[in-house]
Amino acid sequence: MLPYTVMLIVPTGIGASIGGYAGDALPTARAISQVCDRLITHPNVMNGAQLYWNLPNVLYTEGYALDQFAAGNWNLRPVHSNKIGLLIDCGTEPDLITRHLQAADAARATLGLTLTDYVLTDEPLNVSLKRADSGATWGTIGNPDSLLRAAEKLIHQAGATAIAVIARFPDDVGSEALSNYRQGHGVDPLAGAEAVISHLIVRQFKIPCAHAPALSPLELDPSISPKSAAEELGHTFLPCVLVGLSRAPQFVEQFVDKVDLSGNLQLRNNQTQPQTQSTDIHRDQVNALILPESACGGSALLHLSQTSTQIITVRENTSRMQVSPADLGINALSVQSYLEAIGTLVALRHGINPAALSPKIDPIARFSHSFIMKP
Amino acid sequence: MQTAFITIELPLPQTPADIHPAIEAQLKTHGTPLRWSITRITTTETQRIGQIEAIVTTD
Repeated sequence: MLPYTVMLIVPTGIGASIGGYAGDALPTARAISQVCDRLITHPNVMNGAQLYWNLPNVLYTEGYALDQFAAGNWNLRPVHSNKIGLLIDCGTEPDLITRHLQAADAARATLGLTLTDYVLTDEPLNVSLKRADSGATWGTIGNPDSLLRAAEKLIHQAGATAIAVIARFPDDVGSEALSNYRQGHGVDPLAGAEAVISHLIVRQFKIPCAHAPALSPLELDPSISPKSAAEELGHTFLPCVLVGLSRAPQFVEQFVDKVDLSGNLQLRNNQTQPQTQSTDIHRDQVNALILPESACGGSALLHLSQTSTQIITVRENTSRMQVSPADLGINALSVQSYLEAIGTLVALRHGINPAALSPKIDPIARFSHSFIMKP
Repeated sequence: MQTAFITIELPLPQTPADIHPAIEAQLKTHGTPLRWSITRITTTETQRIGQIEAIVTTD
């Protein structure tokens, strides 16, 4: 059977009205996973702090890896399970570290996940947060080398095949940004920095990675938005990360530059192409990519727009970004909602042109060279 | 290694396939790109200007 593969992206830190809060795009992922054979999506979509949902046909793929996959540089290799290495920022208070270790032990005892011994960084990571002029949130790391040294120890000495990072984030108690986020109408102030942390590890080690921020508990607030409520439930954001990483796909670097006319593989830089497995997933197998219509300025979309992947944009998932496919000269199918996107996927998967489900269908026209080829 | 947040403005190529390499090439003059996004596009009579926000790393 020919598997139907969908990629779902909701960029983190852009104030997406669906998916910009505490795993509030997870219901969307759950629904989409039911109308495709494989759903490739990233931690921001699947992570609901204490809340998560195990979807066997979802490939939990960190954002940097998604970009490399979309570029055709990496394939995804599904696994039965990963050994998760816990990487903890030594700048975290001892009690808060204990909370995270207890969350890890709970995942081991109650969910049966496999974790290696944990590692503390040798220096505090010193995460700093930033809000850009666009309204998106970003962040930088004061000691990225310390992060990478800890990851190397976990991978090469402890045998980890996936990394869960816990970094101490600045407490932003009382800030307008945090208040807006908890009310469900701001931009996640932590998200941009979280992405940088996992990107650093994935770029360096080509291994699944996700991040849970370590924060002091917040005061009880009865007016919390339902969309942000999942992050109010416990002492850590770690459980969803561990569940996601437990079966996150591994990455297989591709060195094939091109195929010559005789069908021989031309390899980049005299590399040896790793042996492929029948379950490996290449970007050419992605049938559809769904993302917010205003947030099309990212690497993955730009790459996949050059393939046969059907781009589907969702208008009602607004964000602080202002880049549509039309702005880039890219063709896409625009739908109003994720429900409409799901119906579109059902049609596409079964070879039905979605336009045939409209009340008005124009007659077929004769092809004409009505456009000028740009040089 | 250091991480740095930068913003750049760049005239975007007309051909969509050329946009990604053009952005990466410009970002590489500041460091190794780690994460970036076109956040807004301003259209003039003759070109489209992309506002790009990015994190780059430098040694």
